[in-house]
Amino acid sequence: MNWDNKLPLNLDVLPLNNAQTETIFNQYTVRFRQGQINSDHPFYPKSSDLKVMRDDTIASVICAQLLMDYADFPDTVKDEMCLMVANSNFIDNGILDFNSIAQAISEIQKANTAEEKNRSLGAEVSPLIPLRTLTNGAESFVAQYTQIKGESTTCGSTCISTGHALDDAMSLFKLGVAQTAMVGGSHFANVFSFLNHYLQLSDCEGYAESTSASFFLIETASHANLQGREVLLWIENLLFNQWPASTEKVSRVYCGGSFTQGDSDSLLLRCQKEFSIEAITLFPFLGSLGCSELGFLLALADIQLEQGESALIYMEDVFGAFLCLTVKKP
Amino acid sequence: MKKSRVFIVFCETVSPLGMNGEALNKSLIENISAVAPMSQFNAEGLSQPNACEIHDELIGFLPSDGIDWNCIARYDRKFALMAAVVNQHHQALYAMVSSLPIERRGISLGLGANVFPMENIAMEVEELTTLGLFHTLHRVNQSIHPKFNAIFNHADLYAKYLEVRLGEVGFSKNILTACSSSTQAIAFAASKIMVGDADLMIAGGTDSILNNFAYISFGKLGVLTHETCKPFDVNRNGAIAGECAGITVLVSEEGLKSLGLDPAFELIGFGNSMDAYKITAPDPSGIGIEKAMRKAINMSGAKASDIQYINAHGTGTRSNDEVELRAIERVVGDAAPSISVSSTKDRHGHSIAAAGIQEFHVLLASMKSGVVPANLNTTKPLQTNLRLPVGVNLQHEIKIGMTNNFAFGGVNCSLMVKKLTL
Repeated sequence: MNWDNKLPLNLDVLPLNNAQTETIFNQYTVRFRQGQINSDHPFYPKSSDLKVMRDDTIASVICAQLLMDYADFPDTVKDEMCLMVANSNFIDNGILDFNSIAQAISEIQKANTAEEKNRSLGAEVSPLIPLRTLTNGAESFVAQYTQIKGESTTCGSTCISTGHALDDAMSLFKLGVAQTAMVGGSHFANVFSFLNHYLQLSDCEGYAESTSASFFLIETASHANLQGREVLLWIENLLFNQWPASTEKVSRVYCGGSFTQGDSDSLLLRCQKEFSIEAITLFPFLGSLGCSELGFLLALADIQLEQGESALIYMEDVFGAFLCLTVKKP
Repeated sequence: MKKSRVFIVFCETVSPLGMNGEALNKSLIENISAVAPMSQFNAEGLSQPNACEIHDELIGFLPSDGIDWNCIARYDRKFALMAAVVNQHHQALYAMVSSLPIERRGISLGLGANVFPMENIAMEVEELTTLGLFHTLHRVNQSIHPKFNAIFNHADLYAKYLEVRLGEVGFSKNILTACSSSTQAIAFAASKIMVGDADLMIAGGTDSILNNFAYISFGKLGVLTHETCKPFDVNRNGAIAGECAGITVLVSEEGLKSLGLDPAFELIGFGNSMDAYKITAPDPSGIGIEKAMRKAINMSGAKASDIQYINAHGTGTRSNDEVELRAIERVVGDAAPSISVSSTKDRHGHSIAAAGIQEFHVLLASMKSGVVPANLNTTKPLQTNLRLPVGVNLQHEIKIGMTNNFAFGGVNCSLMVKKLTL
């Protein structure tokens, strides 16, 4: 693997000063979709929890509770149910605390001795910072609000991490450790994220990303049958960095997006060429969805597939790693 | 389904107890504690000026490849620690990895949050705006990782580095569950072999919170002791900070045949659970801890009474140790007097996301040597009928051992290991 070929990072574009950085930010039509979630929502988190939650964690908590409300699992199922969460915002943690961090930096700059520096840092750094930046914060709050208490983890950090979360849940099913799982992920759209991607993407025109969350429930066939549940989709195959042996029976292809219209279009074209089927992407409607994307594409497959039809979901990350998930409508 | 067996063919760490297995084993046997005054930054004025640091000259263990490892060690210490593990054992690791086809091998790493050393950043920042801070952090990041074209603070950096050094893998993933990260990374790596999806998994993790920003932040959460770390002591009052990076290689029976190795250990079970209680504290009932341990035992096919040593999470904090001890007592029942339990965090510190690989390595070393590390600083142990060695190491055979790690957020993970008779 040669990283230089994987990431088109051009050091020359790194702005020389803050004013230039700001100019770059302003020259693009950057779309952040962060629609207000109504705090009157019946599943809106408690106000005491909000101080350690990012917007995507709030979205995760609401989404997961809606799902559990629909599934109406008894406590005995929730006690053994898996919770597999993906988080694409490893790189962006901490930005919410900028004011606190800025104040700490300012104090450190003024300090003359190590003792003064440590004391001023201690005075300015909130104990909430490590909690807000906790990489498994969404997982923890989703568990607290849904009371899922089985096998649980957080995978990160690219958009295909949700595939890894799904894969881990399926491994636990195969091992007989669990029969039901909530799988999903969230994404936090913000300025840091844009600036990061500005340095990786050849062109940021049409950059768009959304603060979003999506979760879905999976069950073993026997458990779903036992519960008399309507099966929305069968998972037929999940592969990482490998193409399926055959896509003859696949009638639809859903393709993950990138961060810009241009990059998403070229990903879509490659995907269509590979599978010889016109692919569908959500990018024009929602922008980059990070770790929440897989759930959105599964929902689309559920809506669009006819009985007996199969679909392939293709997603790719910034390093070129990809996943191919084949699902079938019963 | 019949699950495939998982063999442990390699485990190495760089840690405050030593830069490799041999040094770690020696320090365990000789009861050496790594607690010492902090040197990563000037801790003057802090209530806890000590930590468990890697004192060996780290740079000497890093590759001579034109990369400014001094800069990396200063700004992204956990990356340098991981590189030191790979560099020391490159030949052996490369030989193992390259013996199997790409699609049959994978990587599973446990990582902590990225926290820059604020003192160094403060010297670089010109303008205190969001964009100004980004600008500085990115400039610093570029100076840290120019050869890797790394995305700013990206978790995939670590797995990609392993691929660059050891060869491409079929898939790689990161587990981000705070103090249980690398324990879960090992567990989920094992699951991929158990279900037949892989024949070789590189698992482990890396973390260091020994910079002023991270250290002071953790201190403000009240988890760091102002005195000495005393796991399972009545008067315990907190953890001591540490750092570590480590790698273990797990293989299937097919993998063993390809490698031609005789393994000394088998990973026979793992169990995870979620407290769903609070983000900062374990469920005081200990039900989640109990569940993770029981799951690991069930998967292993062994009985709780077959366990001879448990390397406990044992942070030395008020909230963890008694809850964990009572959960262990409930799980092992009448077998308690024959089961040794200790925490080694008092000697190597709490390395957060790398605690799992650190203590997995300690468990293997203990099973190999038959030396059960004592709780070094504990003077007034909690009442228990478990065998809780205090001050002096125990010596007995360990055929089956367990290691526990729990995390902020409520994740619990237990691993079970069996010593194989050659």
